[in-house]
Amino acid sequence: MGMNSIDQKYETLVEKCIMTGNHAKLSATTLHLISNQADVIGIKLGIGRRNPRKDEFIHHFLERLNRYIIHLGINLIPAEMIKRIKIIETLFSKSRGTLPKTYLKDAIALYYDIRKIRIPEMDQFTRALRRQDYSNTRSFNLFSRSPRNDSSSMVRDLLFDEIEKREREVFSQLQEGINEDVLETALQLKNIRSTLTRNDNRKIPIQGRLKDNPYYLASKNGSGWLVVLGFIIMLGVFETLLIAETIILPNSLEAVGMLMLFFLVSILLLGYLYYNTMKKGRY
Amino acid sequence: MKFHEKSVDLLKLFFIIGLLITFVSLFLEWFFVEVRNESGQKLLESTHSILNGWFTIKFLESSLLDQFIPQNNMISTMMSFIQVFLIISSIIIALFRNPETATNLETTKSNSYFFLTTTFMIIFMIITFPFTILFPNEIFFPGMILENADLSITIYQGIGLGYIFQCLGFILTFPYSFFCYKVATIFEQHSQIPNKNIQLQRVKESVNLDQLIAEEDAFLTTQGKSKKVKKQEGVEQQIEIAYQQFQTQRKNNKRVRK
Repeated sequence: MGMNSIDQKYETLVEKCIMTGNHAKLSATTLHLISNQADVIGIKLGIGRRNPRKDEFIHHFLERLNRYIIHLGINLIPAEMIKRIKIIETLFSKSRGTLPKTYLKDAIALYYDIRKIRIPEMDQFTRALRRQDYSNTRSFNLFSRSPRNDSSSMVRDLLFDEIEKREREVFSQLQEGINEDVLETALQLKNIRSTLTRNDNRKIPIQGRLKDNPYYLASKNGSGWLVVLGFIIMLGVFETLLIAETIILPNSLEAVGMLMLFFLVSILLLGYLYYNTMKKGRY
Repeated sequence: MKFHEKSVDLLKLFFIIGLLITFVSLFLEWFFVEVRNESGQKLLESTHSILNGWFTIKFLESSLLDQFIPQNNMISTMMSFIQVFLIISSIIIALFRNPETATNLETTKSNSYFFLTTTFMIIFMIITFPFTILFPNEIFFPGMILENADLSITIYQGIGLGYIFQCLGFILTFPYSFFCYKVATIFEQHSQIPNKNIQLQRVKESVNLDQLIAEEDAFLTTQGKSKKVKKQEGVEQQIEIAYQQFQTQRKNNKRVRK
């Protein structure tokens, strides 16, 4: 089913729904199509689909996509578009599936706007890169053998110079607007650069699969919050111990009651803070 | 440099410090019980360390004080040895194996499981200690000051530096071990993500526009039919009324003729 065919059918549905006054169906379908379009972008970038099971909203997913590609210095999905989707999603859930007419119009416009974002199909490309990284790691294992040094420093410098020039061009092109081909070139250049990078000892550092992977980089963002999670678990353990103590030694209730309350409030507060940050950041 | 760029290194540092603290905690006192008289003079002191159990010093020879000496129950020394083994192994792995530069997902996964085991061992010790050592002796957790007016003594009970270090060790080791586990799990899940084309197909199939249009069509047709029926019914009714009127008029005319 091509995009034209979907467009025709969608237009027909819009007409019919207007005739029957079934705004709920039109709202739900439009939001579904917007979500599908976001999924398509995610799949093409190699990230995969949105995770509705984890209550991931469309706008959260789009923010995640932006974070994935932020190292190129571009905003793949404009902030204004994400804001509009956020409003529509909020209204949709608040009005239990029927958008007000003005917002319904905006949702329809949004569907066509999001369609304009063109993404190169990066999935195969990233898979190929992963294989390449994998082979690199094996070839340049620091513990087993000394690194191979095939290319001379002159060639390397020339290559770097060329890459830098191309990167500058690509960067300026990306600033003008997102282009499918330019985006692909930018990602390729970034990876070539990281593969060629050498440290001062002239050893090629291990380009591990994890280190270069966007999932890993994304998960690094929220890693500081794990300290808070550890703290919450610790408080939870203390709370459990105190509850057990009051059951085994009922006399202790009077003395540890306040402490139990303090732990409970702390757990709730920190838990709420952690949950909100995780939900917002999608770490 | 942003925090998150170095956050993993920082977590790793915390992890190693946490493990060292946990290791040290095994040689420190985990709990203490002190009995003092009115003037604050120490009469009895009992300390518990995880490797040696209760160690009591009586500063005054009196049988009355014996009731305050805790029973010598302790967590199996084997558990401490297992913990020492886990701590040392985890430190070695953390120092010499970097998950960021790992070449094999399986190794990363097994390392993360090892780290998690170490962390769970710490939490196990934290939970087991009060149940095995304190509660059977009717000693309060995390501590208490009890005054005995009959004997004019005050009993001080509280967790020691060893237990505090063990808790601190957990807080410091948990983030890195959980992070490694999370990363390994994400990669495992990612390797199970179906082919791109299948995913795109699933997205397309998730909404059936034809069906939705057909539903609306059906609704419109039903609505149209009901309107026609109503219209027809209205005409028939009008005919009936007209016919009735015609009949009444004819009857009236006949009467007039008569």
